[in-house]
Amino acid sequence: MAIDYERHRYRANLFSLAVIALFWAAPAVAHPHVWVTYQTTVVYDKGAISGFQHVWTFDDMYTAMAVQGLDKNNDGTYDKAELAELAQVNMDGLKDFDYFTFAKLGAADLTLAAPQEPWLEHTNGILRLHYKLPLSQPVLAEAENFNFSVHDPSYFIAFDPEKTDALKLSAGAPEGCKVAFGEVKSGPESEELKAKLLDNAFAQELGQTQDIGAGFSTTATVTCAKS
Amino acid sequence: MKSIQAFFIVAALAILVPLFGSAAAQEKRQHFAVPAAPAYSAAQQQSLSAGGPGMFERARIWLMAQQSKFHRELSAAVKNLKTGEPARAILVLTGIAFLYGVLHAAGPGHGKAVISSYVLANEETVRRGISLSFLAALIQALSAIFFVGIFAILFNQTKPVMDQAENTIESLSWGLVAALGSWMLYRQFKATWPSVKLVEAGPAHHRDHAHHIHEQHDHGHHDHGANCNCGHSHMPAPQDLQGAWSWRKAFPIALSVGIRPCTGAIILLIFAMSQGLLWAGILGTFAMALGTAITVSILAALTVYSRDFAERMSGDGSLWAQRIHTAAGFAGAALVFLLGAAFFMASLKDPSPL
Repeated sequence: MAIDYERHRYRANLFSLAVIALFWAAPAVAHPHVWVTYQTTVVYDKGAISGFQHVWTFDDMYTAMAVQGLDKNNDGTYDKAELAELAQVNMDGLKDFDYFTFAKLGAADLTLAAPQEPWLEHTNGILRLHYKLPLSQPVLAEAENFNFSVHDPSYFIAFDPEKTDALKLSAGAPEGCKVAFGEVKSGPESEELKAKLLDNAFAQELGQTQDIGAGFSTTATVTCAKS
Repeated sequence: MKSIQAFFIVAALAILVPLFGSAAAQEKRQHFAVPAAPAYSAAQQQSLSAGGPGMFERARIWLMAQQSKFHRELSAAVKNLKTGEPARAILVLTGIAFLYGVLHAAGPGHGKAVISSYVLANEETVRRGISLSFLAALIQALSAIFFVGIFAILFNQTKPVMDQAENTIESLSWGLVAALGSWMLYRQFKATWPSVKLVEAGPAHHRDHAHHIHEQHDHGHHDHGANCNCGHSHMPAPQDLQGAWSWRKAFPIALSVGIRPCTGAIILLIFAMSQGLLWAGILGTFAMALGTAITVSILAALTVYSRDFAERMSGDGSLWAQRIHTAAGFAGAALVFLLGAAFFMASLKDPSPL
């Protein structure tokens, strides 16, 4: 084949290398394949924060994928029993990722215990995962700066808070306590804020932590008015 | 994804990234119409200049955000086929899937890096690089369709089973890439040091051109006219991969890269199927593949064009140039091998959280 590029033989693959390297130059940025809208309730029990109650709503594409082949009785719906196994599979899978729930007291990481009562519901082509996620050790309700974040550091899953009532405190929360996202709020409140979030992601990326997801997520903090 | 960084270090040994990087980032930024950076406070400016995000990183984040957007819009497009105006919905679906493919291939960890390295090592032509890219993308689209056809439609399997299968295919794919890379390295080694007996006898079809020690040839590289008579290959790399285009030569690399179905395509197919619109999923998958092929082609073509450019820049047939050439041959082969090996390892321990 008389292509005239054939005439170039020697030298200078250097530039090609440069071009290729450009595409590898920066750490990998995954992009999300799954979207989760979360609603998280901080659960109080006997005057202490015992853990979380998560309700995660999946996107319709992931839903189709996840329920594929699970309609065992072929009635066109996916009932709780048909989805029970999947709920367990999810729990097992999430375990290695700390359930994408990062709880802290101040700056100290808190550990989580095994999740409880996982179940799935499928309505209108949307899958919703419910489960309780206890802390290994309850935190005193009055403890200052109990905070948590729900995000995927690798950003394979995009976690977004529910538009309304994303964060709640369960019954038994002390009077005057509330939970809210911290200084960096999510949502397109302002372009500047968004830019900050991006910069946060860049900073983390450049800092080699690969903690990309956090840049787009938010930390929720429980604060209690002193009475 | 640490491996990617490792490769970069390998590649960076040879490279002009600082020179080239900012220019390309700038270009990329324009190409992809990255929104203008917001105004920063003085303090922020300070922090930015002190190791803050560059434009390139910014472009990449933007890329990711766009991809994420397209991914979500795909589902809306499929649903619109039922509720909206069909002709318009088809157009939108195809368009979004195409753009998704274009952007998706620009992300890391794709076959594009393998194809470019391969093109680099093998002195492929622009046309051949493009053919390879399209062939790999076509195989990938067919792979996704067969995958869904077999696992979801024929056997009605569940996601965990499909994940497992996908993972196995992925390992196989990268394993093949690594094997191909080591083969390329072997050929390069043989060609560079023909007197060294590496293995007693290679496969029967290696008609070694190793006796063409290229230092001894004068191929008249200064002649860039159309009648340049450098008809034979003297890149001493895999002879198998040289010469006229043939399916036999293109197939191993395209297949190695392409048999791994794209997760995005599988999700689209299954979702379309769940909506009773499997055909739309198939259409979207091919549109995606077209987009992927175009991005990979651009990169492959850039690789070849860059070589041309560099050739014009460098002196003619100098020993230095030949050394670079040999080094690049090794680097390309090594990169194919390293990419394959690293992604193979990664594929072995890559559990899906959901």
